[in-house]
Amino acid sequence: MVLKIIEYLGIVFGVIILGLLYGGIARKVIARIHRRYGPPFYQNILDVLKLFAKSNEASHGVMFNLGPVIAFTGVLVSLFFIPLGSFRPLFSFEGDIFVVFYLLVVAPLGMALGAGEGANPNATIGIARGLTLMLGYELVFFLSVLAPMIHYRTASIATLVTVQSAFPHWNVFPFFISAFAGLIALHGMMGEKPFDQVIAPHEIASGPMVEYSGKFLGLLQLYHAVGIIVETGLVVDIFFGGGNWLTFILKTFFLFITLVIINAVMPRFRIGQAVKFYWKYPLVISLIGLLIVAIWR
Amino acid sequence: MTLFYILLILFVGGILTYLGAKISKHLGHAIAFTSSTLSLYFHSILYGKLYGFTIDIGLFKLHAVAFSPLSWLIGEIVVVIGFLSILASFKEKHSDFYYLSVQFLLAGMILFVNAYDSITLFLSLELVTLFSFFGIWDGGKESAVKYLIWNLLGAYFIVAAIAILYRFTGSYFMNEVHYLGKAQKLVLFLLLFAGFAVKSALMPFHVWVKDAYRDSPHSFTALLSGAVSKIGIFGYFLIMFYTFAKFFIGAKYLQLTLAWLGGITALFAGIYATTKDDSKELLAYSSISQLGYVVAGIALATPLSISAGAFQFVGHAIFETLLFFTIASVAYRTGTTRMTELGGLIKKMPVSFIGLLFGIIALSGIPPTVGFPGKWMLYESFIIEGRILLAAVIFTASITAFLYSFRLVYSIFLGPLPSKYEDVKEAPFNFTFPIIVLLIPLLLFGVQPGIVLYYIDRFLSIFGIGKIEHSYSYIVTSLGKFNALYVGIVFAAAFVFAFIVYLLGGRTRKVHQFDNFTAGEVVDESYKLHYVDDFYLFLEREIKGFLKLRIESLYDWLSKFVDGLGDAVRRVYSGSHGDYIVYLGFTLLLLILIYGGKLWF
Amino acid sequence: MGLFKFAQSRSLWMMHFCTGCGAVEMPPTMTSRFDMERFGIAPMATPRQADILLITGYLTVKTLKRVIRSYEQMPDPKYVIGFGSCTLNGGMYWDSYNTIKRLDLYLPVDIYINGCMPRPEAIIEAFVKLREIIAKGEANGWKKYKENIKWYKENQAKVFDVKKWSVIKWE
Repeated sequence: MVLKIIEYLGIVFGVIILGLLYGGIARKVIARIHRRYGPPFYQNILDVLKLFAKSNEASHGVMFNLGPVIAFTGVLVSLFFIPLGSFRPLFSFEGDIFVVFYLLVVAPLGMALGAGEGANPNATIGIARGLTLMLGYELVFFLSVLAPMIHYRTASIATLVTVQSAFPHWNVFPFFISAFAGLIALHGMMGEKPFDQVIAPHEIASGPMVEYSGKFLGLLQLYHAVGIIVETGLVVDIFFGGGNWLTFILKTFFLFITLVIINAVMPRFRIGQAVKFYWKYPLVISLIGLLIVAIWR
Repeated sequence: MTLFYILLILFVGGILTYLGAKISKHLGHAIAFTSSTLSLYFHSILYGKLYGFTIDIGLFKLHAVAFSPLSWLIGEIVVVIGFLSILASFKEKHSDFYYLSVQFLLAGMILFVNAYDSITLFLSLELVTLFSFFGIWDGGKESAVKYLIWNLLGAYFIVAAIAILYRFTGSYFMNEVHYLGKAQKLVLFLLLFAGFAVKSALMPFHVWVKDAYRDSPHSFTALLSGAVSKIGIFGYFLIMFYTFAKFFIGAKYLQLTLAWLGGITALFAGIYATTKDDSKELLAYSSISQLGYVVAGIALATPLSISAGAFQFVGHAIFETLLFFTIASVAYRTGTTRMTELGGLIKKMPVSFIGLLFGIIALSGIPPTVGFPGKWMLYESFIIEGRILLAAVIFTASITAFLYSFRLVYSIFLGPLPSKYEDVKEAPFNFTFPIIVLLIPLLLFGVQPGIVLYYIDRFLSIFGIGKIEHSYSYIVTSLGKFNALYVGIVFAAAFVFAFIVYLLGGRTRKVHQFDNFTAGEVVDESYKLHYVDDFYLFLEREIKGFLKLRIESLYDWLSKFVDGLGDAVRRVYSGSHGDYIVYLGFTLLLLILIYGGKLWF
Repeated sequence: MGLFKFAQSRSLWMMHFCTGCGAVEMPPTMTSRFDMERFGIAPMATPRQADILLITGYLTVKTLKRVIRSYEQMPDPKYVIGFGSCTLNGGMYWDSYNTIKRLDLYLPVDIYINGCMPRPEAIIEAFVKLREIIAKGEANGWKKYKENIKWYKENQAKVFDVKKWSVIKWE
């Protein structure tokens, strides 16, 4: 029992460090695209350490303090129900894709509540935009993820990973249309440009993070870091075959870097444009993907 | 006979409250409290038993039998919410007649769910309609009249069905419809369905909900949304799985149509809710939307989907009532329910905030609260049956729930506190007690959904529908598994871990709400810092065309048409003698032409 | 701990508040040619998230009010860099009726960069120097501000309404 707890803690720490490293490497990649050197790849870890070393942060109340804590909790809970490739130490058999969908909402909700108590209109505008964007990408993601699930008649992510055992059997090949729509939805879910209306540093002063300093900001950075692994991990499990822990890390890394490269060269949509975009082509693409599965059966 | 005594207590209690309130307000309150507590106690001890009564009123007999455990479940929801609502209403201003109406309403609802023949059913339905009308009348006359007209329409549908039933079968009992033709069954089914759809606010019969919920007294709205809408749901169960069971199980297209009706209701009501400025209107549309889920689940008629619909309506009774009680406590202290006038009340009313927070977490369907297992089973059942588009519609409706519930909690409790609410205190015990009481099942049934599911199994077996595989903690379907207890435990453990990480940081200092990032400027209340107006304007701009088509415009057109028709007909009576002589002349001419010469002979 | 000191020196976030004309040298420093992000320095939108306050050039009284407010909203530890000659002795505007001649009287400055305006190379040299003194634990401007708050507030009171514009309490 104690061994299990130590194993879980080890995985959580591993995922946190991995997420921070991914973020740091992403900054280096963006810098190289900008033809400059960029920070060292471990920069995000240093950022988080610096943030926890700060003191005398401003606090607006109990909910404000708890907001980042709930955000971090939410993303950790979702982590426990996603199989990390074939390495399945956690509870991935006890909850399927719908549980994960709804657990992924806890984190933004916690951050939204905390930022709301900060009483800054910038924060609320960011959150209102984030929720409106959610109306766009969640449906597309849901429909694209359903395609392989209907085909294999299972909603359990762990079972889907088992079914895609080796390279030629990745789901992305038979279901490439749905995977394409899913990747566009993932781009919005991760908040990469052109869908980063929630943070939008130059428009709304970093949105929900506007009043957060020190350890709160540190918790939010940790939330982003684990969120990277959770969200890309979900897509890798469903479409790219899972794999043992090493291949899983490589696959999530390459998927993440692809999103970052697109992020580096694109500007930002207006929020109305972003939602409308999602309801045009990606929705149609995911519906076509489902149609193909329906006809196939 | 206990059932009869419960009804007697409520009827007599209602009359005594009215008379007692004439003597002293506190005497009236005491009588109302006693009668609701007694009815709660007596109904609760009926758990698991078969009960009922028959009384002879000379013209006919009234039969009331709890022929399925569903009757007890809904009856219990009614008495619990009735008790809490009466407790909360002591602090609000009401006429003496209000308490009588509430108690008669509770009696009517209990009679309805135990009705065994159609006369009792109709009688109790009329009782419910009449006394909920009086309840709403206390708060807003126009909305009450609108409510009454729509519910009378529904009642007429039902009475038409009962009359046709009597003509064909010669009896008033609700379980003797086997020897009717398919077309006749369909007509009866649809008439009864329409009647119940008005009560449970299904589109297109939902137009009374917004005004009635907004204008009725706040504690009464909790009763309306939590209990009265369940009457309609009970009606659905009655006609789908009891009276017309064989017909309905075989009618695949009918099932699909009704399920889609539920799905469309859920989605459209959810979208309208995001645009509302008044918190009670928002919750009204939210209530319509959540009940759409229930209909979609029940109509699909597989064991999993019916369990999903049943679980969802139990959850709805808990969290929607909780939300309305929270709004009642806020309105009691601040005097308004408009979200654009409120703000920042979290510091002043923390218990109400916790109530609203958990209410919207359950509404959004986030594990481990009571709102999630029903939704999970709903999605699973839709996908197993191959209804992907319906699942997508319900999923989108669920996302709109995140939108409007965040707007609700932010506008009222978060954001800057206007200075006029500096002296606001937490709501009195009458309001906080219902909030705390409702929080317990909200969390308990979310972590141990089996408690409710075992009970649902019992009435599903009476209706002849199969079971689903579950235990107290987990539910298993052919698609996957959901272990609610694990989710709850992992949630608690992750929160502890995150909190420990939080404690590793430095000391914080409390700052005033105006010590904020405002680009270095000094701000005070004259700056509009509370982002409440047109919260989702960017969304509304994109869906402007969609928001324009509303069912109300259809009804407006219909009423204008009838008005114009009546106006045209009225002009026949022009009041001038010349016109009337011409009419007479034409009539004579017509008669001559029709009968030829025969008129003279 | 040494690790935290190392992290604090290698990850400095500056507040993106362009107080004066010297701010025109910041975009070249931030962009590809001189790239200050490789030192771990990034611009941040609000004072809550920032460690460094850059006073780029002359300060009018109007800007000083907002600078003091933003400085007091920042969490500890925080550093001020005086950018350009105007912060040292008034610079080009030494005889103006409207500008501040000595920044030192109103805010504790950790590093001055002289020049009018300093080139990006000079700015980067200053950041590296700041990094060194943070790692040694010598950048204590924020402690000085707390300990001598009355003196700073007296000086500030001479030029503007301190009660209205301050965020912290000092008496």
